Amino acid sequence: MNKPQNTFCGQVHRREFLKDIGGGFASLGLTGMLAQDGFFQSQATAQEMAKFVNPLAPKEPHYKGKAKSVIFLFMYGGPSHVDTFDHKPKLYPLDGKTIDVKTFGRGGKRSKSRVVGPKWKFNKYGECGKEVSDLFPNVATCVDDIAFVHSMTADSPIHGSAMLMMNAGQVLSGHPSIGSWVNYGLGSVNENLPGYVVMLDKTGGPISGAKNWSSGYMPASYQGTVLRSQGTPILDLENANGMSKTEQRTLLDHLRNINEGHLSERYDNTNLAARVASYELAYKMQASAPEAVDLDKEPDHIKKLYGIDGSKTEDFGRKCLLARRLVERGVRFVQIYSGGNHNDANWDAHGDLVKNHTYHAGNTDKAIAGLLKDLKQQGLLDETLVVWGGEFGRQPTAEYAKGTGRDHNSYGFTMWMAGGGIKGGISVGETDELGSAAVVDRFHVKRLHSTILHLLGLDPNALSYFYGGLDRRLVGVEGAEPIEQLLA
Amino acid sequence: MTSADLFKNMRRKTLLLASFSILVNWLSAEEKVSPEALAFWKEEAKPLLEQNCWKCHGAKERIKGDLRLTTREGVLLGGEIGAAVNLEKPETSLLLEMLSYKDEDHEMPPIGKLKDSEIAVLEKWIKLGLPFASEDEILGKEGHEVAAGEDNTKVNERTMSHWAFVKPKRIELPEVKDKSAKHPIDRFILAKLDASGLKPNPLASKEALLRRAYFDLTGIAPSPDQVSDFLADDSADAFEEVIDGLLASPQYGEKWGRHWLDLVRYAETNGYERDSEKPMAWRFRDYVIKAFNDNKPYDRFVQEQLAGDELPDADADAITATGFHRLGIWDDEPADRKKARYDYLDDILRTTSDVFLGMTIGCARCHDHKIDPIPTKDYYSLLSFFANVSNHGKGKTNLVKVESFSGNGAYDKQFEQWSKRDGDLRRQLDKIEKDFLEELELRQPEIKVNKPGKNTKAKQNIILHDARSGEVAWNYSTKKPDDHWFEIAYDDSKWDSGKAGFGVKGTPGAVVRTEWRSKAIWMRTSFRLAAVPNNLSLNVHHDEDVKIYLNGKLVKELAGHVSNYETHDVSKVAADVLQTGKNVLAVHCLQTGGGQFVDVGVSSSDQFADLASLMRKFGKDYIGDSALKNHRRITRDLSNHAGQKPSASKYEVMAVAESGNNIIKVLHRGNPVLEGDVVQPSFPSVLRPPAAVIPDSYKTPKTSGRRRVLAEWITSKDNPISARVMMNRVWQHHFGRGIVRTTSDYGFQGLKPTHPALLDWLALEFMGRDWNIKAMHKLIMTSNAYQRSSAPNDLAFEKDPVNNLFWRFDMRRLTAEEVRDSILSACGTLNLKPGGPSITPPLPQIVLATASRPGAGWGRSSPEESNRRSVYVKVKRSMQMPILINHDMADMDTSCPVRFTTTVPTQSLNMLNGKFMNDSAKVFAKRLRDEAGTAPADQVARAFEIAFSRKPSDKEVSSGLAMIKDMRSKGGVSAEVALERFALLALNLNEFVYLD
Repeated sequence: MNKPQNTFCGQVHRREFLKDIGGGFASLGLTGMLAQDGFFQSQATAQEMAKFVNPLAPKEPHYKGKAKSVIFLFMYGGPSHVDTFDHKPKLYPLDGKTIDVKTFGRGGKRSKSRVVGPKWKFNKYGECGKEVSDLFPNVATCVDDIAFVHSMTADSPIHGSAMLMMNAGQVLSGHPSIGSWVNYGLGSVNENLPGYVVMLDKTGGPISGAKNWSSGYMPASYQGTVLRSQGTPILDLENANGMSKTEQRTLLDHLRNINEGHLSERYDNTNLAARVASYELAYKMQASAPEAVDLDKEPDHIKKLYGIDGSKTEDFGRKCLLARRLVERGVRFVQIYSGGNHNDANWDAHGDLVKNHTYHAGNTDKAIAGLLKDLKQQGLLDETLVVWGGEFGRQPTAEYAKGTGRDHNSYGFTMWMAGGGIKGGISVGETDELGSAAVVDRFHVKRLHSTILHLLGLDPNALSYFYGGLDRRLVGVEGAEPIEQLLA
Repeated sequence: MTSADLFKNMRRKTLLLASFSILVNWLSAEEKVSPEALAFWKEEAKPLLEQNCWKCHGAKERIKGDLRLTTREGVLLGGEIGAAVNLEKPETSLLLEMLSYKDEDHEMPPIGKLKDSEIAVLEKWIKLGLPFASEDEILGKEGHEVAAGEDNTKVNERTMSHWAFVKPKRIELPEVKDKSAKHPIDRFILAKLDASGLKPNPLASKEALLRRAYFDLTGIAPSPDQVSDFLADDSADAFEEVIDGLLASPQYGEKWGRHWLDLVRYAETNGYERDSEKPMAWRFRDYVIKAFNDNKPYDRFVQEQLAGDELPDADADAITATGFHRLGIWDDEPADRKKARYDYLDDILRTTSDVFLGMTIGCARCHDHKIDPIPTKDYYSLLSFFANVSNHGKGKTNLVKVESFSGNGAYDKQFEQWSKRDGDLRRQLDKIEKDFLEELELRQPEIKVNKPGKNTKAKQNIILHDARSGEVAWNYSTKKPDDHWFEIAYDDSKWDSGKAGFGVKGTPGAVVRTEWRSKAIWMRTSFRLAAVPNNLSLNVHHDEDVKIYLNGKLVKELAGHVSNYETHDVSKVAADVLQTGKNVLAVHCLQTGGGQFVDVGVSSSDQFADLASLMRKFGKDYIGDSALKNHRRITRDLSNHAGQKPSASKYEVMAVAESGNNIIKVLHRGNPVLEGDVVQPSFPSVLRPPAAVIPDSYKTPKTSGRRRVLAEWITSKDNPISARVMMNRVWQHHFGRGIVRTTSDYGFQGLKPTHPALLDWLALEFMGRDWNIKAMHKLIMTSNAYQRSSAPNDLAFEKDPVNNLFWRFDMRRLTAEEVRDSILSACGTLNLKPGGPSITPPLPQIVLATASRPGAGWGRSSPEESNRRSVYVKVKRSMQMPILINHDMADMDTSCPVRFTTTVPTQSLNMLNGKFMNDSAKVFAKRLRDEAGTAPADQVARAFEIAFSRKPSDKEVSSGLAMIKDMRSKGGVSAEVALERFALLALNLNEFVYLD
């Protein structure tokens, strides 16, 4: 794909063009190039028109990236950074004391609140000596592969808009999610599987549901596909009324045959040919997807590594192992939600912090560590970027008069990344000594997005999509640079 | 210091700065700077700036905040919010304010606060007079990143004469080689084809043309009968008649209304965390459909949506239309309320400018438009028209009560007619009953005496049926009526009518005939008694609390809910109010949660109390067979007539409202805390508009009159762009693309029209015909250009592969709605019921599970309701039917002028394996058997007629038969199943979803 020469020159791919020529005609990259070349000012040749490229076909990156795939472990609800990875020794003795501190959360803006001391001990791990709390004893053993960013900031401390920001870079609804951007920019190398897969918590989706993996103003072909770890993995992968394989093959053969008769009198319409081809791709997907999600193929020691043998860890472990199998098969972007629904069904610990975080960390710690170790031993970690975090963190102070619950915090929180070109064993950025706000090397969510795109070989400030009179970017019109300190 | 104060200060600083220009020049001369100061610059200040500031402010091509800190002049000039330093009072410098992190909206550098010692260095630097070595300066190419070529971002004579910004001109129809070409549209099209030496395609077959016309105007294929009628009609105006018929059909509004709904981002929920309902949003959808069906002139249509409430003749429709302002996304819990308020107004402005003007004015929110001559000031001036639009709210906040038909009296007239018939029927009934009662009194006076019943446990005789045994009509209201609503004399004639029971389906033991979903209901009905019975029972089913009044007296009160009918003896309490003749039963039910249901019947063990049972027993003898039959007929007619009562005159709609008298200021970088100059309402300057004057007479008791001024300017015949934009959209949906392909962007980045003269001609014609949309459909469809074949032509394709010249008609895939509706139509199960609350057909579990409350906000419509047209499927922002999403229905978070046509494997998976498809295939197969009998060849032929609107060739029948045969032999299935598989195949064929 050509880099746009000029940010506002206008002659870039745009929504209207796609409709005119039909999405099946050309890859977006091709469309973009043709548009730039003045293709639509009637200079196109018939040969160019006759090309058919699947919109999800692989595309050249802007430059060679270190990561090929991303696994985004989304801790929905907002995990507390001071109780997990951001050690704040001075916070412990303040427990129960009311202090002056500026906070902004669900309960609005406050300048004074009661401190809730961190509820877990921290220990040093790995060669880097990173301090990790007792909530994540297994992830702790992987710290030498992890880069922690303790100084994340986001624009909103409210779930709805914050989720959209973490997934799509904007607090306003209607923008494509990062997985859509990745598929738009790179396509999928395995046409038999969706390029962008989302696995939800068993308690339900996150708030705003499908908006979190929406393709926004881009075509629906770039939206995330919901994949289940048990039962039929993808919607309509199996015939609803139990048609046998032979019947289906027979049907498809005749479908193609009759379609070809129709096509012979309309031979210059590539949309028709594309539709014929899409049925064969669907057929192949039906064969590939069940194989990809069949965990029975995995040896017991691998399942154990992910905690699939334990009742608490089984569910998330299964999803993490699935994620590895998917990226192994070329899926570009996998997102797994820890937590769904509302309240304590996710990390949103407003009431009883200990109960909430013990539960969610307990469900995920082993699986996440298993994923990192497994990726590493299979030689996949170098090309797979693993991202961990929620839509924001939590306050060092209590929300209510009683209890240990913490309110939302978008002024400062922790996320971490591993693999895929990330320097391991480092921590960047700092929050203040309470953990209430990032003070050193503050990184906005856009910087995280920029880093992810960059590692995949996409120039975050060049990857754009023309819509509504503007070249839109995941990182916004003002752009954002990758976080250099994190790059290996 | 608040942000606003800060900015005011900065403006002052900017003014001050002008008088320092001489000083600046003097200081910039390097030789005047002391070596100590220069050393300080080199060793302390520069490294700090370089490390922390320059990356975004001058060292790279992209400069943030218009602030260049890599030259001394840049520092002094400052950025978009003012000068960075104040050399007179260094400690008040904006730069230091920013570094201090005192104001959370102005913190620099964003990555983290500098150390105090570092800030002190920069403060000293300012105090030293800003020493800056010239060799350290990084100069940029100032000005925008506009490509080589002309800058179109300034409003000047040249940009004002951009083709779209000047009024369309009437020109002579061009001469063309084909002298038989009379149709003006063909003259324009042929002229360009002639010039390029291309020949257009011949006309399409009659079958293809008919199918094309049906889909274009109604979104549904013609039936086999409609096809054969058209084929048999050789008259010259056969096609015109078809067009007229389709334009008159109610399905036309459903098809073209959907195009409009795409533009105005129609959705029925707010999006975000709760994605909560926009109550009554569906009334806007019905308004749009009705507007198209009624052929509402386009100028009025636009005025109603923007300012229906401000129009002098505002009726219920005009108010409903203003729901336009309320359709967008809305975050009920924004992190930044002030910004959210501007986001809300921005959504209205963008939609308005994109949809009505074809201009991307929204791009000028944060800075002057980067491509088009639209200054930021124009954005905020346009925003001023909407400044008083009240905040969006939850629940019923956005509802306004309207009185339907007020203004033209149609409702009153309808009601009068209905009442007259109702009275006639009742009089006829009364007369027969009177005759009967007289005869009864004569022959059996003892009944009137009302002998006590012998046995109270005797069989109960029904006096008033409950829903289990009869269909009794009640008048009801879900709005709290006057206090005396339960009195006998209360006039309930304007309440709605419905048959018992009332509630939601699924309540245990309930028979629901009238849906009731609100919290409370008030209902009244009456029954007639020949004699006052000795005892009386009520048969009541309730969920929850119910109060029952008989002739104005409270006779029973029950709390909570029950799961079946229960009988309550009210003999004692009812004794003193019962009367012969008419008795009025009034019921009030209130529910607090969960399902709801209420129904009441009346019975007595007295054998002869009820007039109806007496009539049954003695009627034939006393008044004769024919009078008795008449009585039955009239009773039935009366019950049916009750169902035809004109709908209640008052209802709620989602509509705009205004509050306050708000001032709009230019916001720098679109940031609400960076307020600039106050602006007044005005139109985009590049269009050479008149001044926007708000006449006093336009003010209404509740609104400022501003939106009406905007609407009238947009729909003025002097507006250069409005008619073009709409005509281009009409063309787009007939030909698959606009004459301007970028149908919401006519600026410098939009594509030029392929046929500018034709577009101008259409725009003038449209206005000349007083914005008559249906007339323009007919004009376009009667051209040869519309009727051409879509077949390939190698020669033409070689020269013009994207059909810029319209040498043929472009094939198109059916829209998402057309795909689904066509499947239902092929099954013969498409339910054409129009209007009303949206439907929620079944969704697969995997889709329901994506919501944070799995399945919430998506009800369960009955199978019959589920088969209604797709335009009636609920538009929930966070959840949608896979078959619609897969076929590229519009994402409604923003206006969608052109839909995608994507082809991906998941679409095929859904079409092949989805439950809706496979269930439909079964129904389609059954229809084939029912209509074509058992011979497979006939079944195949019938499938072609239904699905593709044409008869198949012998070869095609054979290929269908071969499929069925293979299915049986290879798949080993029964003939019945094989036909179902064939039906599924037919619905999957390219010919089914692609239109020639």
